[in-house]
This record gives sequence, structure tokens and C-alpha cells, in this order.
Amino acid sequence: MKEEIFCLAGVFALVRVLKKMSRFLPKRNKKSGSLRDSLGQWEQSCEAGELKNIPIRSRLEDNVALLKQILGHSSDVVIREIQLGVDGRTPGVVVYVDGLTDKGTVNDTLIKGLTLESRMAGLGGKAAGDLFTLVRNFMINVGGVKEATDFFGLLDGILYGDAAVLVEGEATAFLVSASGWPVRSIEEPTGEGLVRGPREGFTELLRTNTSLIRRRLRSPNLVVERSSLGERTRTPVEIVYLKGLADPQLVQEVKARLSRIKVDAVLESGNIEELIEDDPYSPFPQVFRTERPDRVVSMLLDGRLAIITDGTPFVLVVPAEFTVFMQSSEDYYERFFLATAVRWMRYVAFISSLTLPSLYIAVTTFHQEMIPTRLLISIAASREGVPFPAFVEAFLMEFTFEALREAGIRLPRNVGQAVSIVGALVIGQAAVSAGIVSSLMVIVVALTGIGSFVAPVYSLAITMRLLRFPMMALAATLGIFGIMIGLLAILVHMASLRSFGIPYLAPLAPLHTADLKDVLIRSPIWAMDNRPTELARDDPIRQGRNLKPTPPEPKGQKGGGGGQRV
Amino acid sequence: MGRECRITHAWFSGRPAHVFVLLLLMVLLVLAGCWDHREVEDLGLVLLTAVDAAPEDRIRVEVQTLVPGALAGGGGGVGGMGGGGRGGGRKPYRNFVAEARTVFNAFRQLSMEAPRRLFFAHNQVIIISEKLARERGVSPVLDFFDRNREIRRDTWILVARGELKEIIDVPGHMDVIPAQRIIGLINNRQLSSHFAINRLGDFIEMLESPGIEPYTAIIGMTPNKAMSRVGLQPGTVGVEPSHNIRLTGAAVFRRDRLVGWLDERESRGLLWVRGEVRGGPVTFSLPDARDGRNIAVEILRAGRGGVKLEPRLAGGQLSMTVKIDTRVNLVESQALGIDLTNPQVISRLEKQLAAAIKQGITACVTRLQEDYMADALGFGEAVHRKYPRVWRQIEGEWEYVFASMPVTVEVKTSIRRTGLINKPMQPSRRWEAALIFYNKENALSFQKEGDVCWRSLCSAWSLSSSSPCRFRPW
Repeated sequence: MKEEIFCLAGVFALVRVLKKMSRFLPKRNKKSGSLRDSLGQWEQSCEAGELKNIPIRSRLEDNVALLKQILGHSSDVVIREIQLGVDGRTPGVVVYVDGLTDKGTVNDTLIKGLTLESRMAGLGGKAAGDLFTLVRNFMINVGGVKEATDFFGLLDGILYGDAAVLVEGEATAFLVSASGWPVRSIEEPTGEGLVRGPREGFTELLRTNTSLIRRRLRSPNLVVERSSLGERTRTPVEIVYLKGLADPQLVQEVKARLSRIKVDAVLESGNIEELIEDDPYSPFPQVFRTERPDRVVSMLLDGRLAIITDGTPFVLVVPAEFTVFMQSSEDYYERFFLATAVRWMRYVAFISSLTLPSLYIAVTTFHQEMIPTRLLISIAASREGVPFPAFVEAFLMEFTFEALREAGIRLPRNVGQAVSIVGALVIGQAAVSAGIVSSLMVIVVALTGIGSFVAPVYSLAITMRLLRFPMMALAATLGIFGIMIGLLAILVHMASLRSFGIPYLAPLAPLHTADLKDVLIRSPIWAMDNRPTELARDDPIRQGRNLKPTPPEPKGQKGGGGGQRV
Repeated sequence: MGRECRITHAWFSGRPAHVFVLLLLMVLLVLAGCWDHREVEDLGLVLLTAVDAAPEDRIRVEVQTLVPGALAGGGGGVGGMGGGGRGGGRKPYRNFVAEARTVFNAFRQLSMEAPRRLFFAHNQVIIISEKLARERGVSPVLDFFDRNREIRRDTWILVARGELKEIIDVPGHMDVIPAQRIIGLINNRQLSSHFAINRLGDFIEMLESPGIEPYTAIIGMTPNKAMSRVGLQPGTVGVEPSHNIRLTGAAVFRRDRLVGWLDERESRGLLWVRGEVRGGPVTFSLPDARDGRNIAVEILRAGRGGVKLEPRLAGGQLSMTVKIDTRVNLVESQALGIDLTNPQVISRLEKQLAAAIKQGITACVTRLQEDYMADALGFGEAVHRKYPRVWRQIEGEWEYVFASMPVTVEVKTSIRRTGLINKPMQPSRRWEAALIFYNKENALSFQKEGDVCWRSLCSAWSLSSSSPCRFRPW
């Protein structure tokens, strides 16, 4: 054994560990060491590269010893020894992490199948090789079975929730898919509520999330590709796309960007987003995220890619141009009149949430000529006695508003109500009657707040919240001229952005007239015949022509084309 | 695509120049900005400017500024309660007066009395006193207003008849600030079409054009007839103000001097010719109606398109034909018996209406030709357009040509609607019968229906005099 280990060049630390371990071998039953021991073990962390170089050996004892060495000090790791075969002479071990595995699967199916049922069925042979085949073919009554030949694979499986089965004399371990842990059930996403539309939202469990997608998209071309990100968290991440629709180059690019990631931890898809976006210094989101499977499916059907991260209900979708952030999935579920009107409102709210406070500042401090007389008189009356310049006033109120907003999110719900009451009082009443701010400013702040709540995607609302402040400063120094400078700078910046090769202002700049059907207006479903120009270049046609429904022609005329017959 | 979407590395890593430029830009903003910054609360909003003649060739300027503090309590409403709210009975406006040799100097004199910087961009009315307009002419004053960038060319211009200081301080409960009240009256101009008002820009254009003389409306003060003695006694909630501001007629200028007034009827005539009648009442009566029973119509925008000035040159004599085409709604008919569903009746009414309108126009033309010799009607421009060569010859003596010009007025009217009720009111059946007879005698409307009416009338009568069944002769 020692010779074998020596053969593994460069793993001196491990060698020492194994030497030490071989002395402890007799005390196999000792579950976990004392605190002092575990402290000693703690120093010996196992790097993935090292683990990959340790094969599973045919001696069960060695394997178990090494496993204990690596995992043994964790109380939730279960190493169950069993005797296989009719004669019960072949020792085996089932290793799993308690809490990651489904108890029913492990106990009733796996262990029962390995021990009791196999013996009752008379399974078992003298030759170990036979036994191994038997174990694989007959004793493990679980769907997903993988094989691992090195410790990296073995541990990977165990830590993802598989139960490992090791058999004496075999240098291969079975990884039986038995993962199961308490998860949040599928709920309506709180961040993206709809009036009409599916109520299902993604959960923290990756597999549930892919199933939610597949249940809406039963195409065999739906590809789900797995990888793990984070050296320590080993977070499962899956790329989902539709073959034939997603540009192969795009898929390649996404994979390349993901494989570039060498970080310790991926705790949320936001970590990935920051690592793969095109312009990390842009305030604009370049990766779309959603909690809604229907939204993801519709975007996959445009030829986009989804990146699902385990442990978070937020799924990333790339590429994401600006207009995507102004669309809500409900736009496509309600009739197009309302959807169009709502979309207009959204754009207006978007612009006003960006510019309203700055316009107020600019107009009241530089361009009093522009205000209608009666409004100016109202403003003058409400600003009478306010000690601050308009900029300070606006900044104060915006700051208060943002602070209250943040407080409302962080606090427990029942305290949060108190915050909103205080906020309403502070903003709405006290500040005005104390003469610190004008009542008009309160309205401006309120409108701005409402405007930023209208944004269908939170990430764009954040952008607006941030850009509002420099805009206010510009307005306070240069007036409307400053606002125009700011807006132009934003526009130029947006025009220079790209999201995974797609220009950020895609249907507008560069102009694709055919795609304007889904920007300011949401044209009827029967008119959206083509997919976005920048995406799905191989298969641009989405649906059949002439889908507009009409009542059937009167009986006298034959051949009612396009008529809907029930 | 693959090349394009390669991740770009941090743009300023190793390139601190960019950061530097960014900082420079920020400095630029701070240095270049703010210099003309002024907060609303530091402004004295001028709502009205009045110019008067003062002794020793000086100009007396009076401005009306807003007092926002007096409005602050009242929820910021402008036309709100005068004495209500935190204002506590304070006037929401303040008048400042200064005298100087030039308007500009007077304004700067004001700044020594007014605590806030006077801001003229919202000045909506300029009032010129009769004395100044008559004796000195308005152009020396208007030069400043036209030149100044804060004063708009769409400011209304008015000529005051009476004491300026008092006119702009007439108390009122609706729209407490007199300037706002004046604006309200101006905005109502199309409801009466009895005063011919102009904006500063138009006024100056007219002043400079040789083919038309400027005119604008008159502002005056009239005693409030609604004021009652009872209302003055203790215990009443509020006292009715003693005077009202009234806009009326037109002040006619020759070059830049005021030459005279037009009354309301004449200024309506002026508005007709200028194509600025867009509403307002016309009252006329049928010549054969007894007791002068009146009919009132409301003008539906005649507009500029409804007016044609056609100068004619025949035998060395210039003459002018004014053609007016207008549409009206009949809104009131005191002549109870007339049948408005009958087109013949309508056409008779239209003729009478045309005659009534024509009278007003003729009165205006006569007054302008004979009394003032001022072509406020713009006949000169029409001549200029049609006969440019002739115009060049007569331009210098246009006043005299105008004064001696024969003017023909042709008015075409059409009554479009007659209101919610077709039939005139039916006072009572007996009256009806009498009316029908009356109308029959006058052969006005019931030539054919008369018999039927009579028969049904009799049958109705024979039933019962208090029968609920409604009598419908037509």
C-alpha cells in the first residue's frame, strides 16, 4: 500500500496522513475523534486536484479509512457497513451524508435491497466480480447510478447527496442517486407577481427548476448541460438552451465565460452574473434574471440561454438587451391593448424615475420661465420658508426615501409596517409642516418612487435609483443643459454596451424595424411571426403566417381563409 | 460574435488617465455650473407691470409681485381664499412703484425697495396709462419691453382708462391677485368678443406696419352693482368689493399715440374685420315682430378664414369690400311663436342677423374713418397685398385715403343649430291659440299647418281645459 502511495508523486502531505491513518485502522468503529483530533485533521485540507489523483482501491478497508480521514470528523456523514451476498461474507459499505439523502430511498430501497432482499432472492455468487455485477444489476433498485473510480468523484457524489456503495475487492464505487432534503415548495415568486399567468416560481433546488422548464418546453432539443462552479462550494450550475435556436457561437461563448470562473464560492446567481457580464463597470444590468419559469421558456424560445444555479431561485438569461428589462411576462398573457398601454406607462415611469427629481431641481433653480405661471405660483408658495436650495431639498428627500425603502426590506415584516408608518409621517407630514421641504418635493419623491417600482425587473430599477443622484447633481449645477448632458451620456453608454454580442439597445440601435413590434408596442401574438433579428439567426420564423383570427365567412362565399371554426 | 463578446478587462487598470479625465470633467461641472442659479423663493414674481406718465418727462412704473407666503397656508392655491389659511388676511400681492427717466432705471429703482429679485418672465399683462399713451406715445416705453429677454412677446397689453394705481389694486374674492383676475377676463374674451385685445408682439408689429394701426383693449374700473347696503352691516360674513375690473372696447392708436376709444359694439365690428371673433352673442330682432322681441345667437368661430378684405381700384378710387361668413347657433328666442324647423324662417333670421352684424361693422368703420383716421382694420395691408405699386404711392398719405374710402360690408350667416328645444316655449294653450292667430295674421310660418292646428286646437279645447293630454299642433 505504501508503495502505491509513493507512486503518487507530489502528494506528501497525504502520504503522511495515510501513514498515520494506517495506525488507526484497528479502531475502525470510532465514529469521530475528539476535538483535538479533529483540529489536527483540520489542517489537512483536501484539494480537488489531490483527490483526483487518489483512485479508489480494491481494499475496502483502505477506502473506508481514507473516507473517514477525509469526512469522518463530520457528524452528519454516515458510513454503514453491510455484508453482501447470500453467504454474507463480502463486506460492503454505504456512505452518505445524513440530511442530503432521502431517508426512504437509502433505508428502504438501497440498504434493504443490498441486504435483505438480495439475500431473500438468493442473489449472490462466490466470485467477487460476479457480486459486483449483481450489485449493480439487481441489488440497487434506484434509478440513477453512477460509477466513480477516484476519490474526487466519490466525494463529489456523496456531497451532492448521492449514497456511495463500496464493495470489497472492487476499485469502483457506485454513486446511487438518493439526494433528497427538505426544500421550499414551488411558490409564487414574490418579486415578480402577475395578475394573469402561472403562479409557479423557481425554487432553490436546481433539479426542480429544470423540471419546471422542461414541463413547459417538451422539445427534445432542450439541452441541459451541467457544470460546477466554485472551488469550495461546488455549486451545480446548468446551462439550458434550445438546440437549433440558440446560436452555437453564443453557447460556446457562455461556456467559455463560465469555465473562466475560478472562485471560491458561488452562493447566488448574482455571483455568476458579475463574473460573466460584458461591462462590469456599467450601471446597467446586462444579464437578465427571473424567478419565473414561463419567462425563461419564452426567452429560450427567442434563442437565449438560461443559466440555472443551485441554491437560488434566480435564473440568469443571456443575452439580455435593454428592451428585455422593460417587458414583463404578463405583457404576453393579457390582450395586446392593455399590454401596449402598460408598456408605454412603464417607459414613462422609467424615464420619470430617472429624471423627475433632477427636472424639479433644474426647472425651479434655473428655468423658472418654463413653468406655467400658476404652477410657479404654487411652487413659490410651497417653497416659501424652506431653508434649503432645491438640490439639498431633493437630495434630502431622496435619501430619506431610499433609506426607508432599504429599512422596509431588511426589517421583519411586522416591524416593517411600523417603518412605513414612520416613513409616511416623516416624509409626508412632518417634513412639510416643519418647513424643511416643500410639499411639491414630497410629490416628486413619491412619483419617483412609484416610477421606480413600476420597473418589471428589479435590477433595472436599481440602475435608475443609482443614476438619479448624479442626474440631480448635474441638474443642480447646469440645469436642463446638465440633464441633457447626463441623458446623452447614459444614451451613449447604453449604445456602446453589449450583452453577449448583442448590442444593448438592440432593436433600436441598430434599428431592426421588424423587432419594433415588441418594444414600445406589444403587437398581437398573431402578428409576432419572427424571432428577434439579433437572436436565433438560423431559424428566424416563429410561427405560421396569417394567424389573425376572423369570423367564418358567410355561407354564400366559399373558402373562408383564416376563419376560425370551432 | 465570439470575438466581440470577449470579456473586456477593467478599463482603467493601468490607465489612470481616464480617472483623471473623469475628475477633470467633474471639476468642469462645478466650475461652469451654478452661476445663474436662483431659487424660486428668492424671486419676486412680477405678474403685472403698469406704466404711467410722471411729471418732468419721467416714467412711473408700477409692478405687481406675488407674495407667496400669503398663499402658503391655503394649500398653494392661487385663486384660493384671500383671507384664509396661514396668510391670515395678508394680501397675496404687493405693488411697488418707482419713477425714473427710463423704464429700466425705474425697474432698478424698484430693486431698492423690493426685497426679492424681480422676475419678469411671468409678467402677463402690461398696462399703459391713457395719459402716457395719449401724450407721449407708447414706443419709447415698449422698446424696453421688446428688447428685454425676460419679458415675453405674448404678454397682453392694455390701456388703462382711469387711475392706474387703483385699477391694479381693485379687491376681489375670486382670483385675489388683480393680475390673475385680468388674465381670467382676457381668457374669457371669446365669450363676449366685445373687447379687442392684443399681445405685446402683435401690438409692436402693428405699430411698425404702415398698413395697420395698433389697437388694444381698455381696462377700467366699474362700480360693483352687486354691492348691497345689507352686506355692509355688521354680522355679514364678507363685504362685497366696491369695484370690479372690467375689460371693454378698444383703444385705437395712430402710430404710437392713443387717438380714441371704440365702444363695445364698435370693437366687435373691429374684431369681425380682423377675423378674431370666435364666439360671443349677437342680439337682433325680426323687423315685423311686435315689442321688439329679441333673438340671440352665439357665434361659432368665424375665424380668419371667414373674413375677406377685397380692395378694389376703379377709376382712381380705392374701395373696400369686407366679406364675412359666419356660422352661429341660435341660443335664445324671445319671439315665442316662430317655427324654427321651417327653413324659410331660418333664412329670414339669417338675413336679419347679417344686417345686425353689418351695422356693427359699419359703425366701427365709420368711427375709425371719420373720428380717428386710424386704420386699425388693416385695410392698408390688404391694399398693399393686392396693389403693391399703388400702395407705394399712397403709403405716405394712407390715413387720408383710408378716411375717404368707400367700404361695403357683405355678411353671410348661417344658423346651424337651434338648441335643445325645436319649438318655442308654449306659455299656455290659450296663449298658444292667440299666438297662432297672431302668427297666421303675420303670415309668418303656419301657412299650411294653420288649418290642422286650428282643428286640433279646437278638439283639444273641447276635451277639457285642464286635460293632461299635451297639445301638439305640429
